[in-house]
Amino acid sequence: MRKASKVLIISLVVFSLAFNSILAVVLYTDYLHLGQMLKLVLLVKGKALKPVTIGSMLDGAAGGMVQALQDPYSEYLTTENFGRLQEQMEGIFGGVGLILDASKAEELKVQGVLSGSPAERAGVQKGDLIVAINGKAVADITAMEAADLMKGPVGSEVSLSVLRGKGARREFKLKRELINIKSVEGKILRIPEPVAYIKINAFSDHTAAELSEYWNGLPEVKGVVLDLRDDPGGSLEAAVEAGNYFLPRGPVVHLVYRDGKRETYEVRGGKLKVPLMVLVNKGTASAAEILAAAVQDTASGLIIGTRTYGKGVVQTIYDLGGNTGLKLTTAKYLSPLGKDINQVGIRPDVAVEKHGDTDNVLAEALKLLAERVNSFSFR
Amino acid sequence: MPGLYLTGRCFLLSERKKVLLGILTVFVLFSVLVTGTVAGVIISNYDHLGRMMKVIGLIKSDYLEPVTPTQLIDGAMKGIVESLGDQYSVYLDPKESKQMFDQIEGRFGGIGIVLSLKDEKHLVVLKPLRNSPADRAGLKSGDIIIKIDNVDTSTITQDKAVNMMRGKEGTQVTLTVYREAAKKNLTFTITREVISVPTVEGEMLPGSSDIAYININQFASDTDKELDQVVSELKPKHPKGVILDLRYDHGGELNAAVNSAGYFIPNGQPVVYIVDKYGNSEVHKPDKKEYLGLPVVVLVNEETASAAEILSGAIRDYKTGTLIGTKTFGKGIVQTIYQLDSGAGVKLTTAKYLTPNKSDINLKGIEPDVKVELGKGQTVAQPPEDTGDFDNQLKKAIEVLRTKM
Repeated sequence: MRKASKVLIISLVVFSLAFNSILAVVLYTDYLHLGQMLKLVLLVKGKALKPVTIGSMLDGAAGGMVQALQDPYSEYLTTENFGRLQEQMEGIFGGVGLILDASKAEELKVQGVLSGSPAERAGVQKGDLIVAINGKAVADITAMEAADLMKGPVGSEVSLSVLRGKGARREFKLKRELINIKSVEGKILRIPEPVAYIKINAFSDHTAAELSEYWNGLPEVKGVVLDLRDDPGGSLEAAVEAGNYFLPRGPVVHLVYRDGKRETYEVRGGKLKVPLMVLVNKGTASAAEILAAAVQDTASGLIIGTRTYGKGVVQTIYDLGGNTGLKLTTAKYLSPLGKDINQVGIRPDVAVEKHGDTDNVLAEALKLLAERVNSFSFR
Repeated sequence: MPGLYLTGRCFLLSERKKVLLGILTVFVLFSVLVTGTVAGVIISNYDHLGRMMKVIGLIKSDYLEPVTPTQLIDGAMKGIVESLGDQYSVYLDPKESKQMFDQIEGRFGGIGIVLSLKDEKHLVVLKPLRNSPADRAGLKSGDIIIKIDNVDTSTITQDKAVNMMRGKEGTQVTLTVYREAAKKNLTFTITREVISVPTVEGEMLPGSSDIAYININQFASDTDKELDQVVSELKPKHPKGVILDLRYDHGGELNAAVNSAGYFIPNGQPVVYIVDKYGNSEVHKPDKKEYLGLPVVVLVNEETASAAEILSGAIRDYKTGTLIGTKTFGKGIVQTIYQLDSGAGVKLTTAKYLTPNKSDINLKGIEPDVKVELGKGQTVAQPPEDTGDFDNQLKKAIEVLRTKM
């Protein structure tokens, strides 16, 4: 017994001595700037007017390290942001029910109001110009940031300043509700032959199921318009699954990791037997660009619209516990033919700029589709 | 006898042993104590520490680009200071730190403009300093700087923009500005100089031979000495009242403001109390200056900040002058700059200050005794135009001062 406690005490003392020598060496040589960091922690703890806990300093350090990567997509996710991201991936979040048109950099126009949504009940109308969100001028932020500002916990409020026609500024206070955005929406258009118009709003965990349901209920059509405009992307897997419907058998995307390891996602494909037109704009990003690039590389259809956003890197989300997370850029992706679209975007096959209130981009797609449908039937 | 000798040696040996043993014991105890403290901190912050270690591990193993440990630790230090959530506290990497010290010690080259505090989104020129390179090149008040050496200013912070305009004396910087009056962009290439401008200017007010006008545009380390000079020049002209113009004075050195206050408050009285996080308060009194004992009117506005608010607050509390203009900025906290090794530094908000009546003006500002706005489109000339075409606030100051003279 006595011997055991003696051994314990001796090992404790030896450990302490070893630990202290390491600490002393680290401080003395300022190894990796660790010594400086320790001094800084003591200064902030001891001198700063605002009280701060070691815990929040450690969280700050973690956040600072991620910021030091200088990567716009990597992010240390605090409790609030982590929850929001998870909601987005699941396709549910608190919102006000506005669909925004971000095609022009200098303005933010309401393109649609979801029926029964808080925005509709408050009286926001299609065509309204949003000039400020929560007092923040829209001119100073990007469209994506604006969209993020609208989202938030269910029950919280967001205030909008809106211009309608030449009238005075209107102020709306909206309470956020659970908005269950459909990932996939579709309708049948006639040119006069029936064609399917499929819009993918974002790639979420629901995309595959919704697309499959829609596809199975589809009557016979002579062509397909796939609208990926303002689709910010989302889940990579969902984009690959969607590729099944629009691409031939083969690779959809290659992921390249830091160590040079490649991973290729393939689809069985071959479902589409009619001409395809894909609509894109500068709001088409990430997972949506993967699908559009694959359509272009495999010549499965024509890409119509304006150059896409150009996000060719993939993030992985890690759960760090305690409702925090880390979103880290872990791979870049290449199109089936090996093109890197990061910061470049996809150049459309047919460049069409949107102008006016009518959807001239869709009209161009339908015109091209009509030409092909007719040449099909002549054959 | 040899036995005794032996005993003696034994005695000596055991004495030395005791000392050695003592040192060893202290050392071991110290080691155990440090290890224990570190272990305590680790255990009580296990979650946070674990998360941080996970972040480090994931960045090292999974992040697309390779990263050096030093880069990460420097980022961590920035993050630690940011965790305070205080806009005035910043970690300065070696380069930023050097610029900061150069600036404090007046060693930097620049172009000589003052930026407005009001607009955080844009870089608005408040005024080019008189006869500075910017002034000679033709920059004007109200110009909005949109590009510095072809870098879009909306993509960088204001601090970064200021640093880009500074640089070695003799080097050039190219600015693109938007001028509302001309409704177009103008480009200027300006050669940097060492900017040394007087921080205090004084004269007898044009058109009033009995009123002294003193403008302090910022508090630098020798501002109170400049003020001594100005006061000694004006005294022989026997002014019966003083207008102290602190509009657009963004502050600066605390000691300069405290010493300057000596002319405007009764001798030997406290100017300001500096209170640290533990509640320790430090009284600051002026260094041998004689209270002028004249009626004083102080001009203040929304850009009167920090050290300038200390001076305004003291004059208000001792009722030795009347404050005229608009509510002041409201910066009632003090920063200290610490140098770390390897040239890095950290600026931390370490204290708040209280006016002589112990009021805290942080985020509140000081309400003037007489509230006067500028007229529409009116600008402030410091010092005032010789033509006697004065702004509303100065006109009111003269009117109020006359009633007290």
